[in-house]
Amino acid sequence: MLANVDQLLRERSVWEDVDPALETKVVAAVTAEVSGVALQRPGRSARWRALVLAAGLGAAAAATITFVMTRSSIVKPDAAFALVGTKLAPGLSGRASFSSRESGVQIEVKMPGLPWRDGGQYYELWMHTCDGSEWVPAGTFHDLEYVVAWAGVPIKNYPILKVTREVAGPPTGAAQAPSKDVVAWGSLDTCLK
Amino acid sequence: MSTAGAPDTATFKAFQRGEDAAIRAIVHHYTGMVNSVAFHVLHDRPMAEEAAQQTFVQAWRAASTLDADRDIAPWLCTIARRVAIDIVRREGRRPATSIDHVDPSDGALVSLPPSETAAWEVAQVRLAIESLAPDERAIVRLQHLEGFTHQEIADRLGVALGTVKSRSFRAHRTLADRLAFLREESA
Repeated sequence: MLANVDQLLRERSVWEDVDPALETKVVAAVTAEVSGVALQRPGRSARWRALVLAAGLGAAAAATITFVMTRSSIVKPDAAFALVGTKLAPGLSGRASFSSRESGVQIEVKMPGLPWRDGGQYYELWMHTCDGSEWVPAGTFHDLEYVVAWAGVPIKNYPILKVTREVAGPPTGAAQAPSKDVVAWGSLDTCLK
Repeated sequence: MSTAGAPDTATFKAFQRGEDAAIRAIVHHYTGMVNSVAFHVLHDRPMAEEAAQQTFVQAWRAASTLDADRDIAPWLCTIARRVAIDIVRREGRRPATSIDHVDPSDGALVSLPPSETAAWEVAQVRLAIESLAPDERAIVRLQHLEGFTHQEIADRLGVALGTVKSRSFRAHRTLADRLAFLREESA
């Protein structure tokens, strides 16, 4: 046996057992991501069908119907990514999308399954820089079934979104900082480069 | 080097399109490898599992940029290592604690992450182990990870010593063939 291989075969990591549920969790996380992106980026044929359908409906509707569409309902998100539950929320996954508006960045988060927190306990969203040296709070919530949060910093500069468990109390330092109880997180690809 | 039993080009193209069966096939084949690479960096099972989830999500996002004819194992290995390093950084931002109170297995004590080469070697060895028959794999594990002798393995598994020796020989020949490149690269 090669000396190097012999050494590697003694490493715990190469033998690390995989939890049978892990595959299911991974598939669920990828599928959630695929579903989200598919909604934003329909395939060519789907776009074509949608165009034909829209043209037909538009022609018919123009004669008889007047409708008002609010600006917010037609704005596409600037960015979106999957959220993955940590060891504090194993198996959970969700999605966050970011849209720049005049008053800030609107963050829509859908992450069903987190236990309800109340009575001074809550979830908090944080936007982070890739190196973790800076963070900005983006709202507190009872759960993340579907929430809309706001931040005053651009996603490109703070590409990580983190969800923490927090408990209300007096400030412990000069600046508000996230707790170490991270229940979920996700990021733009830029943090991997 | 392509990995034995790896999903074919058509499966990867279906993965790029986000087809459910292909996602399951890719995840099924590579979860062990990705988990090993992440564990090699993090030394923590829950965090390695979190890294595995993130790795496949990131892989799907970037899949359209990869040539479907290429072996995806090295690419997945690179993503897994980077995701795991990201988690190390995240965990390292916890409030300062006296070194006397830090658990020796704490991931924050890992000073330098393994190189890309080291991560790829772990990935290759993991894939090679997974290619062994289950009875051969069990013997190699007991021999190398637990440090058992052939006789101890025979006693533990309740099989003849000769059976252990022949299975061990076959397993090590397979591993040597599959991992010969490690010798070539280090020569």
